[in-house]
Amino acid sequence: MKITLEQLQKEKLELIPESGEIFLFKSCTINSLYPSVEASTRKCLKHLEFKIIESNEQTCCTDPLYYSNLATDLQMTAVMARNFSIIGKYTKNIVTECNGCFSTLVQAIENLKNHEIRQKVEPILAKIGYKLENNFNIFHIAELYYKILPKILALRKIDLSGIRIATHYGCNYLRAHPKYIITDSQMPNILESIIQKCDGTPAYYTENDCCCGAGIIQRNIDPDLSLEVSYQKMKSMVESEPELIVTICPFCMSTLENCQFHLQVEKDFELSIPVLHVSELIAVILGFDPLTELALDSHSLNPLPIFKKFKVI
Amino acid sequence: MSDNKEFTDEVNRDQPNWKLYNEILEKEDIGPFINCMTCGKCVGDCIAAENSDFNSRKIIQKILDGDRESLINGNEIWKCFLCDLCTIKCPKNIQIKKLILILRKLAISSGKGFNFLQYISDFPKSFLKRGIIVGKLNASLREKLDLPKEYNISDKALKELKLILEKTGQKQSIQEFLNHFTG
Repeated sequence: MKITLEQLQKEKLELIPESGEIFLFKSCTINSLYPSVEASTRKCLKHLEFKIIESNEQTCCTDPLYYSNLATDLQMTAVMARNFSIIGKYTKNIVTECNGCFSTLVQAIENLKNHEIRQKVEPILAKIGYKLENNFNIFHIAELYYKILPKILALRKIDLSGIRIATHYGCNYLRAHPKYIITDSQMPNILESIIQKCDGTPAYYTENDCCCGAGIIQRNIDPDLSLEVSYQKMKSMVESEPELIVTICPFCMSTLENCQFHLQVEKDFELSIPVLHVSELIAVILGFDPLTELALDSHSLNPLPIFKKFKVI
Repeated sequence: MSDNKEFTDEVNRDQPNWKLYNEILEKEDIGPFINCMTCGKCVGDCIAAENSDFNSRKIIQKILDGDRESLINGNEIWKCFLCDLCTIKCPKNIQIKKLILILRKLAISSGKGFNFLQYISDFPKSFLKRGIIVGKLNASLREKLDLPKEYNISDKALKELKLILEKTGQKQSIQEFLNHFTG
């Protein structure tokens, strides 16, 4: 009996917990470069009745290596299998704030279903005293926020009225594993729902699907081509006149911020639209102070003036 | 994830050159991309095709023509953004992103492509040394936000990771990659 994609999405949504223990799979990008996102996630999850479990035994997910041909499926899966053995001691619910981590976690779970790979990984784990575990539910934090939107609305202190917000999901979330996400790959609505329910206005634009320009490692391979794609996206985005951009991936966030400076210099294209991670937006909505508690002014494009203009703060 | 595991001869391909095709599938069985019906949906939304001469439909054609040299030596395969827009649109579920990654792997094995990858060496270096990929932490900001001062993994974890990297050969392949730039 065939199962539809919608049914899969519904089933996954039901699996997402609404409170309690959850393992936060730390993202290298966020933890080393974006303390405002890290702080926002921690504060949101605590306020929303989750108990964060984390471990300093957890390594990088190796996503940038995997896509640079510096990690084969076996090599990436062996590293992740060790992470899973550690996480498995605590819980089977894993949340991540990063698309790279999300797609690698899911790919590792998929790979561990493959007998050949499992056969090679098990003895390696045994050598360091670990047993194979691969029964996990992997959620992106945006999915978590979507699931508990009623709770967020009940606790919210902020009205986003009047603010036009453009959304960007990112390729690794929408399309790497479309059967593992809770929304449609081509017409996602997680962020739009959050924005609308908080009285903001989603600023729809045609190039919503378009990659931010990072292309995983394309910024390093061909920065000019990367900027052309960012340009393609931003040209479309400005037509809908957003005041803010919200995204679910720190790497996309970094690219969408940085490209605006390069576009000014190289294309004479003036724009300065602050980019936020969804955790930061939720944290503002829940009433955390954008300056003293979240340090949102640490972004290269400061969102505070926008919040002040619309009397959010 | 392709459903079409059996080869069918419905697709009209005159005498494909199977050598490169089989070489690719031996590296990773991504399913029979001979099923490509040259519809071009992959190219229609492709952001690389929009902004360069990258063309996934033509790449598949080149594979079936056995044109290994231009694919491996050229820069076309390095223009892909690995964004999966094509994979989602393909009516035959061809794993185009994975195909590009395999072609890149073949290029690297033939000693090509290092010039494209020269600026990513910070990632593998950091990973080998610390098990995570880190830049410079903003200590004062972290303190202000009540975050842990350091972002590190435990010594035990690093030791276990290094053992895994040796056993899977990843340590060696990363070293070989990095040596390419230091000479």
